[in-house]
Amino acid sequence: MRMGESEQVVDLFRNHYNIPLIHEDASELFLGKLNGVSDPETKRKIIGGTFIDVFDECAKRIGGADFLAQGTLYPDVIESVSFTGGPSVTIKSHHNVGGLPARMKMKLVEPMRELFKDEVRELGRELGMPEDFIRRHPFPGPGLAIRMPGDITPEKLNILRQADAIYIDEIKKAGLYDEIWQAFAVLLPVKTVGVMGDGRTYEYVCAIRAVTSTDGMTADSYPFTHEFLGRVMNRIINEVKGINRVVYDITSKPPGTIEWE
Amino acid sequence: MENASQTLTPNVNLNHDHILILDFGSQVTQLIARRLRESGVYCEIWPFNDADELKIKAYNPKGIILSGGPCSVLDDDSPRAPTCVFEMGVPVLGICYGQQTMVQQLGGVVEGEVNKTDGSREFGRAFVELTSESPLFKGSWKKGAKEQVWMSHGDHVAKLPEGFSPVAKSEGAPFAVIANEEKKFYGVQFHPEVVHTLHGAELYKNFTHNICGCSGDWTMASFREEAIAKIRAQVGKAKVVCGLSGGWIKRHGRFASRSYR
Repeated sequence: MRMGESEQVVDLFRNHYNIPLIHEDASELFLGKLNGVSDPETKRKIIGGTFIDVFDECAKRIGGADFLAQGTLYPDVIESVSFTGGPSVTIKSHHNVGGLPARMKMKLVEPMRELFKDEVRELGRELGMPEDFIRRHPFPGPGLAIRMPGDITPEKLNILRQADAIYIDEIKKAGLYDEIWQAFAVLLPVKTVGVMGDGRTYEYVCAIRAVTSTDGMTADSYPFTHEFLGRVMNRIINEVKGINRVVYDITSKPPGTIEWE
Repeated sequence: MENASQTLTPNVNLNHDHILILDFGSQVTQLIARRLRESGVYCEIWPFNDADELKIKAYNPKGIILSGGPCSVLDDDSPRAPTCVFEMGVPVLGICYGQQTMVQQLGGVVEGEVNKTDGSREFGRAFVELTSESPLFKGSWKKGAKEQVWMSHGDHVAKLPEGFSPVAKSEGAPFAVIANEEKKFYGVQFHPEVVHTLHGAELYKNFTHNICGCSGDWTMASFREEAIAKIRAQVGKAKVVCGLSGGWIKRHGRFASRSYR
């Protein structure tokens, strides 16, 4: 989770909606299993598998559940026409929590399976959700682990969370958050030499990324001004111990992807 | 499992006026659905080869849209719309490939490009000249006007089926827009669903609201009430688990009876 995110979600559900939300902190379990792993696909598999284990465990603790609610959207269930695989159509099987319903013998509740993303945002407003939650940028399932090429350590996660929070804060202050599809910081597994005060430093490189897109299928990097980028660089290096260089990722999709792993 | 969840929850959205979009594999078919939803019309996208007469009649659409697609109607085994589409007495709108297959299925003629320089191929921005009035352009395009559209075609309609007359032409397509006003069948060679076709959204609105008679009753305000009722009916007093946002926070309890109140 990003900085302060767990607290925000817990607060919204417990205090705003009066829903007795269970907040399970399994960070040690995840970090233990990810120790020394740097291959992106292996990371994703470990995180997906561990997620199911923990979810299953929590569900058992409350005496099991008959239904799993998940946020499947219409683009996830539209069957795509395929001309290469013969006359039959390719049917997408989409599960946000892969394999979980079958393993736990649960039925699905998918209230949004006929809606597009912008309709879901509209529905959120109808339900009186805070605008901050409605407009929140997409966040990948495997979380910050895939915004950190190389191995994952609590120390690096802490550095990344701080840098990301500063970057997003500056974007919001500049009034650009809603113009951008997705913005985030990436911590590179590379240290470079710098000079701060009178001393030589040898610390991590932080890449910042921001893209515009209408659907996530194609994307362009956001044309920040140099002045804005300079301000972000200044704050990250001054405020985050462990980073001494900031770079801006200008790759479009294609050929790049929005996330780094 | 997808099917199981579908049978459990009847599609109450069909209580609203609704349109069927038959997909022939265009990259932008989803945008057709977006334009319709934006004007308050519920619609579903079905693959052309997963839509038999029984299924279409049970769905009972107020109108049918045939999407574009990558094939040529001149090729053997290229896709066709189910014949019932033209026999149900509902308005039909064919887009690009959808227009061409409609023309061919109703007895007209489609021609391929003679060579790549004969001017019949049009990709990207093009202009159509309105040669006749049509309900399709009510309140937007006038006879004699030249309007910007987005084209992406090699083949074009060369001879109209009986009952059709031309409404607009372009440089590469003598029948860029065609209509059988009596049967309410329309065909356009361009793609009104992309933003580069100026006033394309109005064309869809004219088709769904004025020609098919949809009332625009699909709103998130109405969806909210119906979705809540649907979840209550599906879940009853059973337990539902739901993971939240990338992390995995969850709650338990009688989801349907409490969390949506």
